[in-house]
Amino acid sequence: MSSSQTAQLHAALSKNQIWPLHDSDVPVLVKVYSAPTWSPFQWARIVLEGIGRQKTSSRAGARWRTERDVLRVWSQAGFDVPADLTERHPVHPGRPYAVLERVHGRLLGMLLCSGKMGEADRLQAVGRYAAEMGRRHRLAIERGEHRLVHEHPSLQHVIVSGPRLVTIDFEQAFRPVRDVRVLVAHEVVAALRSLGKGADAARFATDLAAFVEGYGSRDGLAACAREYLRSPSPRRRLLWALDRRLRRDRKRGLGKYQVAALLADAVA
Amino acid sequence: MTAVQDSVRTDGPAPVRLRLEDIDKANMAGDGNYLWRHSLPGAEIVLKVYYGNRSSLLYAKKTFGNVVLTGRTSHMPKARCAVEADCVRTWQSHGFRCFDIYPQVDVDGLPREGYMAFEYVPGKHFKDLFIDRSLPLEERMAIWRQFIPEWHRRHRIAVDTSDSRLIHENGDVKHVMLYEGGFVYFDFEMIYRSKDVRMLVGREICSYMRSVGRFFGPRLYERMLDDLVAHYPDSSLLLSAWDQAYRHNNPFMRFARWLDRMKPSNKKIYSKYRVAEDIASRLSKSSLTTG
Repeated sequence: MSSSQTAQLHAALSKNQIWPLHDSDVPVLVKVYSAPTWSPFQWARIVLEGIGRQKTSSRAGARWRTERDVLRVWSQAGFDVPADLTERHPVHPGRPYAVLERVHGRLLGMLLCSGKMGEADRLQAVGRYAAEMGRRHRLAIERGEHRLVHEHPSLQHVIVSGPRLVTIDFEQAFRPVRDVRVLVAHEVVAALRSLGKGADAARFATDLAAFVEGYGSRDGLAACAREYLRSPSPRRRLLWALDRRLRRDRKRGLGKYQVAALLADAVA
Repeated sequence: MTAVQDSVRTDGPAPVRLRLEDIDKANMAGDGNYLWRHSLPGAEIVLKVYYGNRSSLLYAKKTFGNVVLTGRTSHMPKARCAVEADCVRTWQSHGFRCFDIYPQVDVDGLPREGYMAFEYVPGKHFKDLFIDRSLPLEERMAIWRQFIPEWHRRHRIAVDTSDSRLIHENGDVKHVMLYEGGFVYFDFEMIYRSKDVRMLVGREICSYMRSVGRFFGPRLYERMLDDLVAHYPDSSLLLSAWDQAYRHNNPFMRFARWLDRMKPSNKKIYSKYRVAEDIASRLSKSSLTTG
């Protein structure tokens, strides 16, 4: 192996690794959280996360703790997530790890992009996804529970397994905030962006309608749209106005402000 | 009563006292210990004499290296005898087959606690088995796939119990044999004293796979490596092979490994570092986060 190949291997192994654990009576996965890196970029990110982005740290140990905590909170609240079986199946990877139920199924994002779903099935899947999200958001707002809002929502983080819709990837979470609705707005808009990835305008419009129908609260969705278009908080309004001017949002196919505008129209 | 006598078998030869001059001293071993095969009523035994053909000075020198430099137990004959008995007892207690010890066999003329009588097992060493072309390749690979979970089980117990005696310090394909459908392990004269047993697991895995490459050649090495990664039940423990070579928990050891990698001998195809890379590369590809 050349030195560049070794370096590539180092880089690959410094990311999370997930392997099936064959030494178990039930299907489980071992998720090994990435080894710590010492690059200046990583440390800058960790510091900025702590100060600016109001999220838990991206350090391996923090991601391990956060994920296990959020899995517990979601599970106790009755939302479908992989069971945390770490206590029952301890292993020794020499790094922070979790042993999680292996859920067999297909990622919702892959299913929707596959083109193999009939229209009715597709809209039903989107509706189910929205319904679960709506139910969870209402509970999060009621309890002021920030951990019930998914920090990294994506249709690639939902597994369709028969009747189950299992959400995964909770390595980072939002820190406690005064108003959980701000976080809810973030998740809704991010989820809709994920829904619109690769879809044309007509497709997205249909999916959005199914989403709105399934979510169960037009007022809630309207508030989400308003947060980004005309936030009730002057500080955040300024923040979003500056953010809108950033090139990175305009480069992306469906930016969050565009999605917010379409959502506002859909619920009007 | 010595530690050796704790591993008394309930069967095996009756208590017997042999005379050194009655033993055929055709040495089955190479340089070092004497290994003499001997027939007794109801049993074939192998006498292992730890005071072999090496000088006391050499034993002392190796002991210094072991204890001070490499973190292993002593190389002195009595120490090796005692460690081997302890390891055999430990391995057997967890259900791993080793040559049974017959402490009821005494030999006049040999220093007590400097020799051991073992059962003779007419098994086939891995180093001969896997290159035996009279056995179809798929059968040999099936044996390897049968071996892997047992190998993991021992590693798992070793890490769970922090017991370095369950790590095969001299582990390679010369020291495992197939017999009656199961595996028999031998040669436990020394162990590592480190409590970081997970790193020792990684070291042992690399050691075995190095010998696979050196004895069996590239084709079998690649296949056996593929099967190892596919069938070793806990990939996160298999990752210890990489960790002990490139990401040791002990910063001093990590630095020592970095220096060690610069040696020309460690750039060869079956060096411990190349083997560690080969294992890690397959592990990375098998991760569900890849691709």
